[in-house]
Amino acid sequence: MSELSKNQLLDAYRMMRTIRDFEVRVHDEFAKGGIPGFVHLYAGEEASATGICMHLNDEDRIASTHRGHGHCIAKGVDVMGMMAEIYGKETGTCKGKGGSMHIADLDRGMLGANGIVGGGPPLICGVGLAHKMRGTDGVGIAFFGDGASNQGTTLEAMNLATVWNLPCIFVVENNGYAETTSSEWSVSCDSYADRAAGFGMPGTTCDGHDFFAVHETAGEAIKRARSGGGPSFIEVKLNRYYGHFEGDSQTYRGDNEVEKIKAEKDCLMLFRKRVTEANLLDASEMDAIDKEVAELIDESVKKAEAAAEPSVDTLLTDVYVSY
Amino acid sequence: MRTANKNKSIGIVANPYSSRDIRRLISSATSIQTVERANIVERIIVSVANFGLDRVYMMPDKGGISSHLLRNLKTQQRLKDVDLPEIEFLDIPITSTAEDSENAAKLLFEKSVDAVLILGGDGTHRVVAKEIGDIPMASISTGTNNAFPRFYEATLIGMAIGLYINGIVPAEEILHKNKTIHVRLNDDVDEIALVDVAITNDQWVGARALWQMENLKELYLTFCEPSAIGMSSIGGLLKPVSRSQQNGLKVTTAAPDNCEQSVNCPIAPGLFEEVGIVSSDILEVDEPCKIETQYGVIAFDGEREIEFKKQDDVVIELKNDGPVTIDINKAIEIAVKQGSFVKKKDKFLNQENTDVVYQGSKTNEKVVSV
Repeated sequence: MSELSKNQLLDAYRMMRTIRDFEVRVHDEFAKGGIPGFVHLYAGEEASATGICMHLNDEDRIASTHRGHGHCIAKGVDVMGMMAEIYGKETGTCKGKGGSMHIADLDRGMLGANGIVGGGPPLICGVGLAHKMRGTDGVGIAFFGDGASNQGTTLEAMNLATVWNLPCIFVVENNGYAETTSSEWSVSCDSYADRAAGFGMPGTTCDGHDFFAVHETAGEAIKRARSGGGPSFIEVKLNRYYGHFEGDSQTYRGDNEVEKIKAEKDCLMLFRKRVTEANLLDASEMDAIDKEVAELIDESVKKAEAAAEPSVDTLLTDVYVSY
Repeated sequence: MRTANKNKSIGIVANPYSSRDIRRLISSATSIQTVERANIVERIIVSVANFGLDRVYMMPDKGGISSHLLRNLKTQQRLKDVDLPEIEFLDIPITSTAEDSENAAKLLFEKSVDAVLILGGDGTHRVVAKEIGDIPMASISTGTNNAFPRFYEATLIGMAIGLYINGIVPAEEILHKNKTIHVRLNDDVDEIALVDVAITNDQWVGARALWQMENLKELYLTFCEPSAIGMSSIGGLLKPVSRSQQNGLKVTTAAPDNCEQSVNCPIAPGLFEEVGIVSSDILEVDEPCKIETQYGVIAFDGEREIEFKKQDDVVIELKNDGPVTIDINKAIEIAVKQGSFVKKKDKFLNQENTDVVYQGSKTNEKVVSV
């Protein structure tokens, strides 16, 4: 579709702004030493999660990566619970016992951020099979990075999804670096679309800095999957603003690489420019959203800091699933 | 028939990113793999070199074509055994956008290469055509609709280029000047299309490709052949205009239910859409006209490019200032008629004693010694 209502445009802006402000705040708080463990931030990549997840409902499932905060927010996971989880507090989405890389909310169709590189794609084959067997029109979407695109699990999942014609979409968020290894060096074929074609799956590429390009491309892939058309592959070309992890000195990046991207291709800036030039939204409406989101993130940090850590007697609960 | 010719050079602009867009999802559009694109470049170089070629200037890329070519040149015996020209990669920054094709074309123009080969779709051709002046170009179609380039096997294209740059066939018989459509936006922007300019009321450029015909409002065509797909098929199946005709076509469209006539067109590979026709008129050369649609997106050669609003002034003009292309078929046909491909062995035996007459399965042969 190439038309979005005013409310949809406002929702898209709110979602991207929430992801951005959340990640920037986590970056700041991590530097102060208040957050345990590791965090991997999604700032710069907002248009991908937003453009894709805006098409989804709670019956659709997504599988994510170690860089999962953006996918969580885009899929509707509660921001308060997310921040508390990152702080390791008992009010967190996973009771403070999973941390940044394991935030999940099955009720919202978020199968979880995932510390295993390439762990997501096989999961959504299960999602696709479940929907197919039940006769429902839900889809499974796996987000993974350029590094994970080389993992056996990803390639096996693509093969299985094609031979079983599953309603799955494989989304590679190609930010150019697998940790510190350039994807130009490490991905054979140099084209993800070519790799998808090798499995008999249509593959497309879109600009991950442009919300509208992502939204339109994802819309067609999801529509195709829902109608029984089978799996497809989308390469979203984008850039992360921070390092692979917080603390990464990023010596592998070019001089002023991030500054240049922020100045020319920032997805929030491009979105704002487009909708105001086309008189689709007022700047004041987006300013109001900026203010609301800033207050939301502020509150989430205050609540997370004030919450208690999980008590020792919950150490062995939630380890096994009981049916 | 190698001709020693040390001053001949060609440029190659090979786009690794064409045919990867949303049309893979909404139609049966094909995609040529990167490895095959590199193979095509190889075939071209070997074919042109067969006639005489000193240097190839290649556009560098990070999409795999350059790296495959370099790897094959170093490792494949079939290429080591051939007398190849020097291959030089142009000194331009690689942005992995259309800017690379544009910068490469500018540099090829400065270097005054003898011909330019383009591997890409209509969009790549458009970008290069703007910059290379009257340097003749030849095309390999690796895009989606490929309305501008004609389909030929790469080896044949290489042959035609080789024949042309070495002066084996007369240039005036095989070169053709093409039409363009200029689009001026508020006198700031002046872009061209080689085949079609579509005015739609889409809200944004988005995924760029055009396939939702309900949004199409106006279409301006430099030519429209019946045997073509893409936007030009709307005109080609209604009122064909050839590449050599000195006019174009303007078509105004609307929802088929609101029109007295409509055309069922292949707007993408394997994708037919019914397009309602409000009117179709001849587009005259050098006669500018304003578009009627008040806001939306302007698409060039099948790709949405520029968003415009009510206050913007958008003017369309058909012109005869397009790129020069090589007629592949004609070049080879003329060369055949000239006998350019036939090499006769020298007669080394005495004429009286060397008659050999082939009579079916019998020969009347007088054997002589030399």
